[in-house]
Amino acid sequence: MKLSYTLHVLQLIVITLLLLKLAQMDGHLQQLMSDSSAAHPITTIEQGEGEITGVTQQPETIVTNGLIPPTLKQIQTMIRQELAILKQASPGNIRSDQFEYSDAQDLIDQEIQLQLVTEELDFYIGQGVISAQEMSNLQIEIAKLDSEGQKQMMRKLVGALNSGELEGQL
Amino acid sequence: MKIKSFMLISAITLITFTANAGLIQPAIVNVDLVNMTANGDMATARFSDNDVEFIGCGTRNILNADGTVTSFGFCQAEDAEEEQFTCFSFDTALVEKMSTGNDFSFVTFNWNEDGDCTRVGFSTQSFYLPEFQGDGNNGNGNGNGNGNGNGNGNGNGG
Repeated sequence: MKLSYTLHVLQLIVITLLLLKLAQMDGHLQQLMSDSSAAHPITTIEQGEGEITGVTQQPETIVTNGLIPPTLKQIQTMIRQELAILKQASPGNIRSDQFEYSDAQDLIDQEIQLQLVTEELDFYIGQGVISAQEMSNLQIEIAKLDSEGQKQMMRKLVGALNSGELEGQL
Repeated sequence: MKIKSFMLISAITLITFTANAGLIQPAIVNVDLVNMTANGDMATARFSDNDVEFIGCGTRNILNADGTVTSFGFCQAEDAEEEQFTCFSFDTALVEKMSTGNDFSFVTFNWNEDGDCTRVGFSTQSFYLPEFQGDGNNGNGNGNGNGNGNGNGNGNGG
């Protein structure tokens, strides 16, 4: 629960930072647009962390082939798109975290159950015989496993019956 | 003379009655471990002259604590040569089919290397039915039933 709350807060911080960055970039763009004339394309913009080159009047559609660096407008569009996705995904992500936590817990439970059933089955195989009641209880325990565990244990059980290691009736 | 004629007619009638019992096609149980298949009919297995032959399928349905039901099915057989195999399946469609066998069905099934059932079939036809002795003389009845209404009479007349 704490983990999901922390992640939620972190996401909000990231969103806020990105929004601030976007606003800042918008400001820069406006300033650049007003400073430069339409006839002279901007070739280099100092942008703090990196260098963005080749800003010209280009359509909104983003076409990058990995060789030509994206324009400022393209970057803006990308950021907006990413933010939109992030905003949409935010509540889902929190639920997903909870699911992941729950899944992890289930996984541990399943591992424990699988270990218990394996030990139980090994015990009966060691004995060489399983009574109807014991078989019934074993099947109930196998049913508690996930589908993969169920198959795994049934293969072991049926394998033991077929090989004659274990005597009993399904 | 009349008595002799009556006895002769009776004997002929009886022979005709016995001869017209219909097609009989018993299928003894065969377990083929190489080709991973088994088949045979239940009546023939049940009334075979050995104490090992059997064939059939069954299902188990287990209600879990969370309200879900885990179902699996299995088919198993052993032939007169004491070759035997049991396969199982969690496949919903196969499990459903495994529960549809009848008392005198012919049963056939296959399995894979993991022991999972891959095919199951039933055939319920008159030629698999055990021989019912209507004359009450030969005592070939099929036991007293199994508590489910499946008994075939005692056939120990005469």
